[in-house]
Amino acid sequence: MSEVILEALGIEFTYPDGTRALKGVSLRIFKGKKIAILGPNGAGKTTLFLHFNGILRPDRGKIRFNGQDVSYKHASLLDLRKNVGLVFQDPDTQLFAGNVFQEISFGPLNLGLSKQEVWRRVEEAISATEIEGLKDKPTHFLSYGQKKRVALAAILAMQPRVLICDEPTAWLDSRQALRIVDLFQKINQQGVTIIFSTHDVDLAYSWADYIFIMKEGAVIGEGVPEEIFKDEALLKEAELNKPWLLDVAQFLKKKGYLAERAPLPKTKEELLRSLAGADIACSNNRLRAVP
Amino acid sequence: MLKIDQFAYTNRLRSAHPAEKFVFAALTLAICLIVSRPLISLAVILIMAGSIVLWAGIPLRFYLKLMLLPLSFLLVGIMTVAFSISRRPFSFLWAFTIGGFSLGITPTGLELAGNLLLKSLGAVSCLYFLSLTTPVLEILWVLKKVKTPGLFLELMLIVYRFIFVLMETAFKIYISQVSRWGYASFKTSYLSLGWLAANLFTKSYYHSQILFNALSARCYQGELRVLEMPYTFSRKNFALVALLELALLALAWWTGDDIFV
Ligand SMILES: Nc1ncnc2c1ncn2[C@@H]1O[C@H](COP(=O)(O)OP(=O)(O)O)[C@@H](O)[C@H]1O
Ligand SMILES: [Mg+2]
Repeated sequence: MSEVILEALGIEFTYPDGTRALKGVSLRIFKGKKIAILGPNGAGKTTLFLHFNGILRPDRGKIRFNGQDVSYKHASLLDLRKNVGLVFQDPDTQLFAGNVFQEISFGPLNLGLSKQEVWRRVEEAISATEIEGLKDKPTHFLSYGQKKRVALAAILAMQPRVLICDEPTAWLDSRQALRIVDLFQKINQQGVTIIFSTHDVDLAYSWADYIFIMKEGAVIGEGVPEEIFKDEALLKEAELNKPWLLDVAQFLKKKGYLAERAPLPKTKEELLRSLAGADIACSNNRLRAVP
Repeated sequence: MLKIDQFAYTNRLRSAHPAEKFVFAALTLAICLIVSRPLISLAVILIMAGSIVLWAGIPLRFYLKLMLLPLSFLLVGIMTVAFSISRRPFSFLWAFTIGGFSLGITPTGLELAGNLLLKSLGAVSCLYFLSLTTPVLEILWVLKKVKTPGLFLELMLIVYRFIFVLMETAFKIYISQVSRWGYASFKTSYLSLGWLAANLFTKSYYHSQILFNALSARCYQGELRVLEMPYTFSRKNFALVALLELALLALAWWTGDDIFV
């Protein structure tokens, strides 16, 4: 049984201009999981993330990390930010230093680590994100995709236990997006909990362990991907499309190409494999029919 | 501005120790400013042009264009020095007289203006040398080593970074305006430009807030600390710099008994 690492309890938040961005959000994140948060623009995903990292303080409700309430005192905040890393959606808002190497060293240096340790972590984060070639480039020479990787490396170097990414694949071409997902996979295998917001239902369906759906400042649904995407009414309310895999699989089941009780495929490969299996099953039947 | 920044990262002196380049520029600048003699100013201009074009490998055409920039400003400023007004027209090389007053150029005025022009160009070329060969970050590193207040340095860093963010934002707004015929006529250009400026301000303000959030998210506690890059001193470069500076001083000493004017 996994334990809860991060928890939001009845978070309400209103921006100074009067926008009620969160209207009582409660959710629990289990350790080591891959969590996707889906929802239309303006649903409050970014605002929620800023709460998880202690940047915003809720008007009502509380955030809990590792079973302890965040108290918003200096030490408690630093502890939270050390353990919960937040990668902002727009890398330009996050990058400030002159070159990539120095940018990445900023976070770990703030943790009070020795220079050698910082150096080691920076090198590690650089090789994990495959940006060795950019090391001493100034950040304003980088392309958008490269900036995104640098922003991610800058957080990874702090070795957080929970990694939050705000729309990590937005604006990236599909190959770059795949590289980010591969990287997430590696990080997750090292035991890091991953939370990301996205509009990509296919990614959320294939890759997340658990999904939250937000709309207008509230969580309107949660569950494992197979369940969430079966709920037509929920999808409609959240203005989400169905993942194409699920559409295709359901069609194939209706037409009898897939067994009614076969598990739903999570990836294209799984779908193809079960189709190949069906093929063999079919031909076996035919063989048997022949006397 | 952008071009200068690019050269700072790609010139042939990129890997040289920033302190070497800084000392070279600073010493030469000091000599140029303290020793007020046209010959020295000229020597500084030539030394810096040589260093920039031959040593650092900056294209000559680009450097000349850069030098033309301050020249246009300087010429205007120097006019006011060269011309003088007087009631006695006999001391002028050339003048015209209106109502008893003469406006013209005197030999001393001309000499002063020439000196000033050369001296200014010499000083500017020293600064160009530094900015064309040394990235801002490394200049800041040197300034930090000589104990410039940290707040000032962080401010410079953020300003430097924001220049690029601002330009990018301005460019995006501009493109979006152009694509909707925002600059099709004089009137729309006027409106679009005003809108761009206003928008740029609000966007930058918003941006600075988010930057602060993003820094806080990485445990920012009021000090922007980053790892320093390792630089290596080169004895050869130091010797070369020392030699050039000594040569300049020797030239100043030989060509006149009053070094400090
Ligand atoms: N700095 C801000 N000031 C005022 N309102 C904001 C600010 N940031 C976001 N909002 C508003 O809060 C709501 C939630 O926004 P956000 O959390 O960014 O949603 P999402 O990330 O899901 O798109 C939106 O209505 C948005 O307009
Ligand atoms: Mg958002």
